[in-house]
Amino acid sequence: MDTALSLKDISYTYQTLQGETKSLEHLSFAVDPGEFAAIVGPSGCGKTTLLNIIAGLLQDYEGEVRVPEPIGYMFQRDQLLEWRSIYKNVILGLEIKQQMTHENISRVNQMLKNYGLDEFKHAYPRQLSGGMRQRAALVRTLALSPKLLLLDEPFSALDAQTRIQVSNDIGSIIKKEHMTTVMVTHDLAEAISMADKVIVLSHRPGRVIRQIPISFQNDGLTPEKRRNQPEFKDYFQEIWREIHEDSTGQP
Amino acid sequence: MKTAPDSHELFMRKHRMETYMITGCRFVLLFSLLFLWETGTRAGWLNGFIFSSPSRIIKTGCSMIQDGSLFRHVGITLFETFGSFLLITILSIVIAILLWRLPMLAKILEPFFVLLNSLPKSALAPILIVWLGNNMKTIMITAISIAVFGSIINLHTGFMEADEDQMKLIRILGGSQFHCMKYVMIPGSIPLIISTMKVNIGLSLVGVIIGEFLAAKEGLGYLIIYGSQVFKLDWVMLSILILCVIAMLLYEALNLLEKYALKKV
Repeated sequence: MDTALSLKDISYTYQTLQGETKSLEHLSFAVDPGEFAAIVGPSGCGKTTLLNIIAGLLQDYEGEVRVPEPIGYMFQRDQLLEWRSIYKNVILGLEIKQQMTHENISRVNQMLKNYGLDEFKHAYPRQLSGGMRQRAALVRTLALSPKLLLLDEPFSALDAQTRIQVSNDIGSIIKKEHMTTVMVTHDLAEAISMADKVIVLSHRPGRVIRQIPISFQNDGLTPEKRRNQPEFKDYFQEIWREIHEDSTGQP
Repeated sequence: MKTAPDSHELFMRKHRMETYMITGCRFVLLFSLLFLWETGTRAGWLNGFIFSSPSRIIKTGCSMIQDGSLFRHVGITLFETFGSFLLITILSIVIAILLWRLPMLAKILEPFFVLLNSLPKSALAPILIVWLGNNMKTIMITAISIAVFGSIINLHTGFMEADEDQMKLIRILGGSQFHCMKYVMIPGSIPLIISTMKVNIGLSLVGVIIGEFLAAKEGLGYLIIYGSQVFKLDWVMLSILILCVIAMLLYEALNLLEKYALKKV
């Protein structure tokens, strides 16, 4: 099977007046079509830089990136525009790309229906709960039928309880739509509960130290159910140890 | 739960009473000041020739309404104020957008704008008279010069503070700088634009009056200067009162606009 996304020998250096900072160094990994990869690592390891490179927002990197087009991107905050209704927000991408075809619109309407946002179509973002806002942001992202979905700590702005619920929600939707996904997070539990593969980055400059395939005996569990499985704890400890060893330099 | 609406009713009544009280006191204060002014001049504590009085102002106003000169003066001042306000608003929005698009230009011009903004613009008025003549052009350019630089600086600062992540969103959705402006920067800056307009309408009026002091044959500013020179203080006081009313109405008009625009945000 061909890979959907591949990065080879990626290095990136930030330039500031104070000097330069190596953010990523010889970083390589690949993601298969339909696979959900979570990237974890200590803070400041260049996770967001990595996403920006994949998204094409940073150009001056070294190495080779192969990305399917178009991509979808979900932010830490939902970034719904407060002055547009939910419907106007979710069709923003279609409007910009001038793809307001009947087919696309009815697909968006179907998604709004499926994800319980239909009756809030004409409401404004501030009238919705945090979870619903994040779902609306997902519909906006999926409206352009992306081949690759990038999630940048998409639940970190939510409170702890909503967070588990929303990650369960969004995770299930992504599974159902068979999206190739790369999620950046610092929450190991979130990574294990949602991903098919966890990629562990080192501290700065970031490189891949381990890729851990995640598989549960019982296939097709929702993220919430995964958290209660016996394997969950083992994965958690394994990944935590990797990060810990890397940052202290000793086992 | 039968008590709940009653206690709320009580609260609302108290709130209404308070509102009435405040409005009532305002009117009492206004009318007692006018009353003191009137009786003061009648009783001879104040010199009516210098201080004028409410009754003299009303009499002057009535006669000026009859010969139509009042409407001409007010009309001219209003026209100049609206004209300069419109030009200030359009100019500053267009220039601020241009500076937002061209950050390099913004950096180069920054000290010039700061200098022009802090310069007391009334110092320019005499030069403007020499350059442009004793006419409406001079008056309106005086008004524009007073407000436009501060307005540009304000708007540009606000535009530059537009949400980075929202811009990133537009770019990821395939949008250009133009789309960033259309979908994020302008709609996100509506409250700022309106608050800047509120400042500008007041400054336009100030600028127009200063301009009329120096270069006019008509208008309220002219009436004030001319009245004080020929000791027709009734004209001066009448003009000032009308300016109070105009300033208040303009401010209220923009408040209404603000309410209407922010309802959508």
